[in-house]
Amino acid sequence: MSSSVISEAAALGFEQLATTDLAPVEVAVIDSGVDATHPDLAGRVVSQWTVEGESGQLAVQPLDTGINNDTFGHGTAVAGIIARIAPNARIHDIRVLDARNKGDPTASLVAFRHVLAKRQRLVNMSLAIPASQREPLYKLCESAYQRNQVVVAAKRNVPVTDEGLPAEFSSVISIDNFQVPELSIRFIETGLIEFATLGNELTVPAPGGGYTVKTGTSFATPTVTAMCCLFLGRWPDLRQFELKTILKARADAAL
Amino acid sequence: MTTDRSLLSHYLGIAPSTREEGVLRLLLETAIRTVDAAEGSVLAYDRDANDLRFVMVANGPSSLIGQRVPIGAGLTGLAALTHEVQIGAPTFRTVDDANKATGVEGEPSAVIAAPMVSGDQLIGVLTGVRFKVGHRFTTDDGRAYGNFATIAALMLDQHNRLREMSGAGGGDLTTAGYGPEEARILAALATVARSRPDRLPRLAQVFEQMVDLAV
Repeated sequence: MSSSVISEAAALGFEQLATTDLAPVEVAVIDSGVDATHPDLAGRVVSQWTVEGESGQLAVQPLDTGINNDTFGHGTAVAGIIARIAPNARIHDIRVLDARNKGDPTASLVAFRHVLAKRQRLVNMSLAIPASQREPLYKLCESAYQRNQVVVAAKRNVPVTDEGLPAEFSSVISIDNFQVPELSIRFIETGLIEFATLGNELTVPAPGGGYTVKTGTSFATPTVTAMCCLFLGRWPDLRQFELKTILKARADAAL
Repeated sequence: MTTDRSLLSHYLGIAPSTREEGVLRLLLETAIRTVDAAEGSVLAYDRDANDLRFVMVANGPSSLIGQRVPIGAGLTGLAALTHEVQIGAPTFRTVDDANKATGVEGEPSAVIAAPMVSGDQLIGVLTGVRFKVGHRFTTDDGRAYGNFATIAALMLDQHNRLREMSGAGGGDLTTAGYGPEEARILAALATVARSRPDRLPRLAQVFEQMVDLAV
């Protein structure tokens, strides 16, 4: 990719970019499910899945598309942010947060393998996976990087033993929450987490058709996923490190 | 502050009127004041039922104690499943209503749910609630509440580890309410009664001698 593309991508306004001719981009949302019946998400969710089964036997199961697959509202909020910013996002909903699998930490790994197999270009992970799954998760993120699949992952809101996995891995784009203007991005000079954007008091769609207000790194992350979706829609050959370069250039330009 | 000591003991391993109960109460009260919440509570994770139960409530209705909260819905359930602090607001009909934060009198205007986690193990959830219309919790509030929940989890985990090391853990009770040692003795007696009923009078003598010693 030429440096002129990087410069152009770094300078172009997101609202302007969103109105240009963009290629569709497949975006996997590994989360609590998505309410695809919400008006804000009508026609935007192109597949829906759930990870279920006995412990150690979890598998990705297909669901009918266009259903309410979210009892928590977390995934619906995440998908709603992506859909609002990136009109070219084709959202694939993979539900891993479920009382039936007791939040089994391996559910996210099962979902991740599914996303790798489906070759979805962007993966939003607004979840932190327990440290016990660090090794297999690291390998999956490396595989995603090698396949040019871009993982955008949230930092933990309250880091204790880790900053959040997979956010700590260099093979993903890692996101913190910071009070900056909407659609602005900040580069974090030190530590494992690279970028921060607004995740405070965001008005987002809620399951059942209403709206709620969310705060946290979980809701900063889909903003960056949507930014990457716009870039990939305009320049489909961009690689993950080039996306980071563009984000860094935008952060520097905002200073 | 309302607590149910049998629930605290059963789910969190805290004996009644101990330092640990006091520390947990102190942490909850301090957390509430730090984020200016109106009410707060401690919910313990019930591993068998896979849900949460209110075991301690500060400034809130005592009727909450003992109530179960499903883990498959709501902000508290989400905090339990994700092991992440969750900050939320009610659901509104329109974007405008959500932005204006119009609310219903008496209904929570903001909620924080912070998981108490030790390693990968969920112990419970610390919650905080505001009722003032338009008042929301911030990221900093979430971090503060999360820190209190982490300390509470650490305290409970350390307490239970020490208890187990000192042999006072006792383990889980049987359905009839016996500890594991008692259950083993009863099982041994049942075996004797079945296989060597002729030895029962001798056992009865032994028990009588033990009573004499104890008295």
